[in-house]
Amino acid sequence: MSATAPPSGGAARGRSRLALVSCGPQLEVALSAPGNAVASLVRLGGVAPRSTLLLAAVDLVIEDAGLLPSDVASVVVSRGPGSFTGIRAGLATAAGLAAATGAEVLACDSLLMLAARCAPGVQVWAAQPGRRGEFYARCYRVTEGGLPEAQSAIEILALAEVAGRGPWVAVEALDVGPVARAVVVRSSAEALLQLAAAGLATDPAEPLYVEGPPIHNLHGER
Amino acid sequence: MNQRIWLVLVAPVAALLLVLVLGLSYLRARVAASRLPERARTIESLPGCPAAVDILIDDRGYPHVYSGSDSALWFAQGYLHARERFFQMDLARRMANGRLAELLGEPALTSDRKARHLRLAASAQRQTALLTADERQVLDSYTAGVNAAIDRFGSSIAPEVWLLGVPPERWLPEDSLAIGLLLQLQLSWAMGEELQRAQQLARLGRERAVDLWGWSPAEARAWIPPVASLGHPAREHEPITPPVGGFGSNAWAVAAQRSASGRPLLANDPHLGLSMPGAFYAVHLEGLRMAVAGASIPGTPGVVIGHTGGVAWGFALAMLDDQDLYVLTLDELGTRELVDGRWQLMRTVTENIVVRWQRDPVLVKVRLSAHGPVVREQRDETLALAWTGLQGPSIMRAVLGMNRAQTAAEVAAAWAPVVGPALSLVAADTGGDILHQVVGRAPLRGSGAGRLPSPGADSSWAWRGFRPMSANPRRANPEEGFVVAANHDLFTEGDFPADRAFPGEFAPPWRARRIRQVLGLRRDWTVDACLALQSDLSSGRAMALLRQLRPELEPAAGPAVRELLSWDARMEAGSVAAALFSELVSGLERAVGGDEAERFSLPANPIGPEELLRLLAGGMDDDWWDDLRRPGRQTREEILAEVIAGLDREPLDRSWGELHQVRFVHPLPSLPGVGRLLANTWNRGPYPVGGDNVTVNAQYWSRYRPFRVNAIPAMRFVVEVGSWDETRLGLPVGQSGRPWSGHYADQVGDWLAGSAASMPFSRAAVEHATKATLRLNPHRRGPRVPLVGE
Repeated sequence: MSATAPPSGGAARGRSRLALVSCGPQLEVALSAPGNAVASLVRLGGVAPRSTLLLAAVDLVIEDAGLLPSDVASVVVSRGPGSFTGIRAGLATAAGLAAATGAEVLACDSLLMLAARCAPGVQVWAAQPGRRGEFYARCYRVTEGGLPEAQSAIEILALAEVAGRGPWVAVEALDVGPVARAVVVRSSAEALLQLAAAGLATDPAEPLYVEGPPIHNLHGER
Repeated sequence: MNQRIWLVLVAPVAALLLVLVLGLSYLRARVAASRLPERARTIESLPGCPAAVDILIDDRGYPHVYSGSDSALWFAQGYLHARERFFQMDLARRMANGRLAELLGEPALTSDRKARHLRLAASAQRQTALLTADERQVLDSYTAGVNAAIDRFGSSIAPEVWLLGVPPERWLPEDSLAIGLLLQLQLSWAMGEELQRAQQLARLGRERAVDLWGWSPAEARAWIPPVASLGHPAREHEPITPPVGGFGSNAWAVAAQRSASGRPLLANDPHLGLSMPGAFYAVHLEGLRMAVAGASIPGTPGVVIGHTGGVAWGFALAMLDDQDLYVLTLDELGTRELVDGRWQLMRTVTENIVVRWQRDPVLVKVRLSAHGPVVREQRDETLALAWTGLQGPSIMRAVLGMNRAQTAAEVAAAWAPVVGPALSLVAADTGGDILHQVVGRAPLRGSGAGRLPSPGADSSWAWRGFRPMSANPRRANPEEGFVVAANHDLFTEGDFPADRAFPGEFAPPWRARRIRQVLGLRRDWTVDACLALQSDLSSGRAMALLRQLRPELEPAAGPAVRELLSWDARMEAGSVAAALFSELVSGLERAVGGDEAERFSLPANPIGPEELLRLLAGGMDDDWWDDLRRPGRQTREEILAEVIAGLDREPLDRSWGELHQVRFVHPLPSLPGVGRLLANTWNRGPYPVGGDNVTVNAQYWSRYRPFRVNAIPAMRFVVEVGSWDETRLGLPVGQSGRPWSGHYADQVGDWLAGSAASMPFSRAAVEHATKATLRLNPHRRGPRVPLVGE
């Protein structure tokens, strides 16, 4: 049954926040309405973080909320560590949206974002896929308010080193071996929105690479 | 010339057969290592195993697991489930998470869409966050055990996994919770009933529909909500389960004064849809602080039906209505819903489903209304679902509580925090108490009773929370010396006073009445006598229908009618009269309701055996007798005479078992390609069986596919409380889900005969029955998984 309603948007106009997560094996886009409730969410597992796909997902969440791109006041984006191409796709998309709509761009460390997925009151290790089958990892304590505080520097760990620590939080598609997993209560994109609302997403909108680009010799060997 | 024919025709066939035989032999050898020992003593060192575990495997393949560490017991249960039932577990978690198409391709897409719309994975995630530290530790240990098997055997963990060529994914705690929710979904049916009723109301009109349902005028006024009529047919991908009607279970407890030994008895046979392997896996877990044995669900820790050293318990569905549909009022864009005059944005979640052998994934968009997920979006008809499965903590809380309980009261108390599913718990303890307690919590509705889709835009019809479990019916140690739960209406059948009533769609009372009648006849009940009662084939419904039809049958006395009139109403597989009776009832249903179904485009014949009985007894309008397909007006006498005359055209040499057969079908042979080649190897049956939808030995068939058995007693469990070594626990096919295991189908004969395997409990009796042993040791160099809370 449908009924005639006043135009959508209304109070949400100009006060909505968009989150982009494209630096891992799952692409996520979320849009929050006023009051920080998440209005729409796109979660695509096992897809390449192509910028066209990211833009299509952005269109979808905005349309699902009955808004226009110009209604988005800020874009919060994960800046790595993680997939080299994914990080750049996310940041470029955020910058493009900002240029077109005047929205503010906020960036956030992807490990902090993962820790913010967890239930409060625990110490967790966050993991993102690295090179050569390794992981970028960092330990956080998630406060009772649900905000994470770093307990260590970012480390590069082999699979065998992961087993002695935990519990771990990572995207569902990432296999970190036979380890205890932390309890997660929200998606990565929703975690980004929460961090932005709490004022913790304030990094520069630049890629965060833990390692430099791989160097190849003339024979193509590392 | 002959040689050429041989070369052209026979040689390729022979070569193909040879390849097939060699292929199967290779597969069998390849996966042999992951089979549990059946006649050997084996020691394995496992990374992640918290402590040493001794597993004694008896002659039915039931494992008796001993360890000084509770964590090691849960680890071992996960390890055993994975080795014996991994393919079943993997299918179940994929079905719950909407990821079956990643394994099986496009044919599984519909199932995945339904699971995504119902938000089962999201609800499992929500339940994970509600786990206590203790529950989390149990689940992590169980998960580590499953993953130890996956790490050890990889794709060779099960022949099906190797054949399908998708390496097994790591098990997650959420997978176990998702399987629990899938089971809960299979125990909920109300949304389908609601939609069917809405269609009947829209097409038959209010007066006729209310007559069909047997509601009083007061009930009709209170229960029919003010919503526009709904009429669209169901679409395949909609997660609205079709009405099943009458499924259930039998559970009873007999007090000490009625048993031969002076100890209480408990019997339970849960009825579930046919599956191969069966739904349950028998297990006995014994540690320093816990000793429990019974039936478990592969993929989840603990024992769901069984006994500890102090108490035994079983379940039947309480038939409480725990699902409601709401008709939403949306704006033109479909993004906002109207609630109490205000437009509210609906949350939207878009996900992709990866489909095997298909290049592009499929997008699924789910809208979440104030009542729950949207389950139907058809033009001007948008329906949202409120369901207890999307609320409250996991059923695991209750299972763990029961597994540590020592009294009937403790078993019941374990359910207090759990919202659903709603079940009739029957328990008996060594203190001599027997108990019938409805567990699970009834929704508190502002208006109506959830019998029809309600107006979503009016919050006075919305759920306002849940009734506490203390408000549920509870009955301990009744004077008659037994309690019975068989999905019947507990209030009209006199089990409980009406002030404790809850809205429900109860099964016909025939099983409950028969059990009560037989229990009341004796004071020397034994385990064997309870098993015999579980196999009872007497049909109360047949007696009642034949009593009503006798005036019309007697004058018609042809050979078929004579057979019927001399029948004892037992639905024996070898009975010709049982077959004639079933044909007669089907014929009457078609004659009475087929014309309405046709004229009003109803998705199903509105007349079933219970409506027929009410019509014959004068409880429905005589207009139902009129055949709308024919000119003039037909009377009861004319219709009955026609159908009864037709009965004599039925063959008199065909027994009920020739029509009514059970076939256990492994899921893989139903897939195209190599699966079909395996059908004859991995399927079992068909077997002729007695019983029907209302006999105590319930062998259900669907009106959509007459007489083909689709649900059965999925386990038979009988205990004499305290004499735990006398426990009987029988499975329909076998303990193992592995097609070449000796325990894959070794119980079919017992199950058909109504017998059940012994399941000893004392260490001495277990050792006496032991045929093989498996010792699990912690791997010295392997990492031990740190548990949350440690």
